[in-house]
Amino acid sequence: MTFAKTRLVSPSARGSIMTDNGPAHDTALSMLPVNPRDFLILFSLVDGERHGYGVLKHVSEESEGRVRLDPANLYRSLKRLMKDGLVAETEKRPASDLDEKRRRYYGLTELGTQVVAAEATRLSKLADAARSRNLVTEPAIVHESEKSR
Amino acid sequence: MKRGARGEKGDLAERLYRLLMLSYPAEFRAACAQDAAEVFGDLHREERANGGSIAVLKLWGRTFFQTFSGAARERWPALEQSHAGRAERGATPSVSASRAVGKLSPVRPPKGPRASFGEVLRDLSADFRHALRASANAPGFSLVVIVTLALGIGATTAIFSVVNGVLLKPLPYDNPDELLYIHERTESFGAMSVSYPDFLDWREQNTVFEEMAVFTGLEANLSDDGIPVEISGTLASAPVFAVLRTEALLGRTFTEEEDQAGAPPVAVLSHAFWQERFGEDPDIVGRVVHIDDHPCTILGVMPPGFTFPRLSESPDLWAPAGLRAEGWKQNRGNHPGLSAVARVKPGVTLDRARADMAAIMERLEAEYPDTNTGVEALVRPMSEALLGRYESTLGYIFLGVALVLLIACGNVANLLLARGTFRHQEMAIRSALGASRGRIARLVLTESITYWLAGGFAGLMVAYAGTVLLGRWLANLIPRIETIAIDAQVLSFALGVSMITGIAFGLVPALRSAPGALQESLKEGGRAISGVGRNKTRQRLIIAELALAQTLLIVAGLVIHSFSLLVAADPGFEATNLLTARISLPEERYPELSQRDEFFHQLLERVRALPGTVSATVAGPIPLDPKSGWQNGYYVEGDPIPEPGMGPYIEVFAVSDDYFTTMGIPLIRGRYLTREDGNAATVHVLVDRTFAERHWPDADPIGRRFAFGSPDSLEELEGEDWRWMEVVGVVGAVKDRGIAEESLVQMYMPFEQDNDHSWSLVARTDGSPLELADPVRQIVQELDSNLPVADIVPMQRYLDDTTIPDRILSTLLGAFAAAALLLAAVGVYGVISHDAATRTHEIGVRMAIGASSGKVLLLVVRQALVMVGTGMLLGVALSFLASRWLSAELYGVSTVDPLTLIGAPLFLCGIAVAATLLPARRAARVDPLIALRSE
Repeated sequence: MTFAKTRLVSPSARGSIMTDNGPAHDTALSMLPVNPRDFLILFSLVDGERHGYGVLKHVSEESEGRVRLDPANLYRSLKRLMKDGLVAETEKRPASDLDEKRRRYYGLTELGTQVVAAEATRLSKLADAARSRNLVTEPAIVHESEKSR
Repeated sequence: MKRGARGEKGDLAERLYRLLMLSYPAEFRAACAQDAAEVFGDLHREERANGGSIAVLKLWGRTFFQTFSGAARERWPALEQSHAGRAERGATPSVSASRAVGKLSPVRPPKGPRASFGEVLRDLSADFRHALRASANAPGFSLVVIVTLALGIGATTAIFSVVNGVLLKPLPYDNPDELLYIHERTESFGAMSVSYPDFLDWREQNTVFEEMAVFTGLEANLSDDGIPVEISGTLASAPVFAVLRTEALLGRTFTEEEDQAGAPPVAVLSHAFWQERFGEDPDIVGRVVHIDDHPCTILGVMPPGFTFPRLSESPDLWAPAGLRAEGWKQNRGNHPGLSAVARVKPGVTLDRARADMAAIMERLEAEYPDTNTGVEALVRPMSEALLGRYESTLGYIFLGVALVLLIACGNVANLLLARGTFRHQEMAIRSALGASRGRIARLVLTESITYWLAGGFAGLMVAYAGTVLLGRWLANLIPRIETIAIDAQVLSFALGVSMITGIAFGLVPALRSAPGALQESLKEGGRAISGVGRNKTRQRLIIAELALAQTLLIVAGLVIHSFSLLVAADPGFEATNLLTARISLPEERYPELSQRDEFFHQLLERVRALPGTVSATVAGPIPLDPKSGWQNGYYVEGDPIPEPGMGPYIEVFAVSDDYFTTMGIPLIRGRYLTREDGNAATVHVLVDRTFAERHWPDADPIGRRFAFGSPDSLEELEGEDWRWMEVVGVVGAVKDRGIAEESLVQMYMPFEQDNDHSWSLVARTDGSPLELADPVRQIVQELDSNLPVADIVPMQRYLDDTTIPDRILSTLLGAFAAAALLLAAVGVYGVISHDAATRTHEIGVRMAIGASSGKVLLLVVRQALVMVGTGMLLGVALSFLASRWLSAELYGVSTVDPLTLIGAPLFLCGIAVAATLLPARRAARVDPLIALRSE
């Protein structure tokens, strides 16, 4: 799994952004579990920055249409995630010819990346446990385990 | 913030969404509203493109609820935090409040994890029980609130039940969305009935319809060893039952073989007719009755509730159209009153069906230029064809009642706010004891919603009474009105309306229940004060109410003015004291025209001799009768030969002598028709003034000639078939399709020269026209004991029927405007008197230092006038927007009708000032000593 290179550090990020993995990782672990909607929003930003509509579409697709955020609630969540230091508005945007509307873009912070990865790991472990009890009927999506840094 | 490329405000969906976003706190809106609205715009476009209007509706429904729940969650934590923030600064309301009530320590629930679902439910039920107790403690107040809401919600629900029953419910056929009505139209004539040869080609050439059929009305005499009755049936081609996917309850429907010219006559009975006329005879199938003296075998009985083509009154029977088809086949240019009904194949859209029909019509035009040039197919969904006329009327009525509901809700919100000022102490104590502001807000909101639900419940009773009354009043005026009922949809509508208005309007007092000034109530020793903000909110509510009431009043004024003009307008003849009755002579017994003439001349002689008859005549068709009508293309001698399909059309009436004096149509030039004209070799005719002015503006029309049809060449005019008619007189124009409808030019020919067998008797009476009904029936019986008389109807009713939608609209909007006015006046009264009461102290001081009671009166009235004036201006502005839509519904009235635009605001002002004067005078009579002592 690769992450977009540009990550902005939110000024209001919870605690300071650590350069080493230790304490920041702990912070990330302390924020689990992430509520499913927030996870879907964070997950949609893993491949790179998106604007609000892009997040909304991605969330709807990933949840197979089960989670349909309305725009105001999407921005409420984004606002909260920014306050928690998981998401930041980005300065860099895709090439201007693809971006006629000049919207605001959102990307994951370091912490956000760690939280989404930690949550994915947690879910994956949960899924493994479920699978070992034959609860999973469909071929499960294979999660890549957390990337070591 | 960056704006979207589509411009400052975005499209309509975005703007509406921004309105929804008003439920969020201003701070949140400033940060996110623009982006959220743009995202919503994208979503909206995508849903519309992919899923059509259903998907858009779902999106709106989802968004509506999510926005409000999001807004509530966004607001309440904010309240919690501001409370906590103040506590840290040491100036928390609960601390100061606790000082005021004694040594209570500030208790605040620690901000722990979110309450579990069970806890929330327990809290809610506690709130609900509290709300019930609180409303029981103030029975008078509760009664006013619940009655106001019940009337508003009940009226809205009753109107919705009409909209639901008439417009929203699917038509009573299998997959009704697949059913289409097809007619034809040309530029010069407009919509017209279907030519039978054209229909046969449609049926053969189309690729989009599963099946199609034609139908038309059948007025005939049925005799079955009893008294003859005139029946109202439908002639339809055999596939009609397949199109409608309905089978017979008893026996069977007719087949293609039975639907041929020359086949022995058969018929299928409606369930009601079978019950009524044949006493549910189980052996009805195979029985032979006489229809217009032909023996006719009854094949079956349709199931109860099946009706076609009208939705309300089922025809008595259906018979194969093939009986008449031979005549219809002769001439492609003949449009003999047929309509076509078709069912599209699954998946075929309306556009595709239209395109397919257009392609066929083009081919027919190329093949038969004489008859088909310029003729197009008019393809409409069945529901639109049958109910479209009522759509806008019912839409306006629903909007009108929704405004009344909003005003009623505004009033109740106002009452709750006013009561809130007296409950400040209660709230302050709750706060001091540790209730968070969010908790208090929720308590107040639960109370509001409880009132709204109680109002909704009581409203259902109002709605029930309303549907009964509306059903009775509108019976025979609107199709399908007998189906209106309080059913599941209507119930959920009432519940939804109660909840949504309850939450929206309940939020106002809820958010106002915990302002920063709570502690003031305790500090000030318990004197109830009304916060400035609270009063502002109440005034704004009243201004909004006044604006809505003003809009409704103006719109109702315009509609009523238009209706009064419509009723007073001159239809071109005197409709009062005229009796009409239809008599059809069976061709079997009256094969010769002379026999027919003899019958009617005898009939006229005897009817004229009746006491109470002023004069009598026979005519066919008669103006305004929806069951008949005769139009022909014509050519005026000396005019250039028209392009194919572009010739003009004329409305034709065949009449006996005395028609014009009986109807009261004035003679302008020349002479009336006489009995001698009936036998003249040339056809002598009268034309209406419009015809004469159009074709011979500067010349004498008398002696001029014209003919039916449209010649292809000048040579054709010399031929034997070409039959000129000579104008012998000019009469006034008649509004023969109703006052507001354009009429064609008109002509009158002697009825003796027409070969029809069905005629209307028209008699002018000197008393009530219906008093003549029985004597006329008896005369007909004496002349021919096997002849029924049908549709004995006063002419005035035909005239009234043309203004049904206008009558309904003006009556209901008038009633709603009155209700709105009353509610707004009550609202103004409430705010002013409450305000004056809370200012008793201030007024006392003013008077103690020398203010006269006149000055005090002025003070109170001036405040009211500002409110009324603002509301009035807003209302006038709103009504401009509303009346732009309305202009199509208005007759003879401009949307800027000065009478209404000046009168209505003055009226509103008058009522509002009257509502102000009472509390103002009470305030002015305040005794300063008592007022100051009330400290």
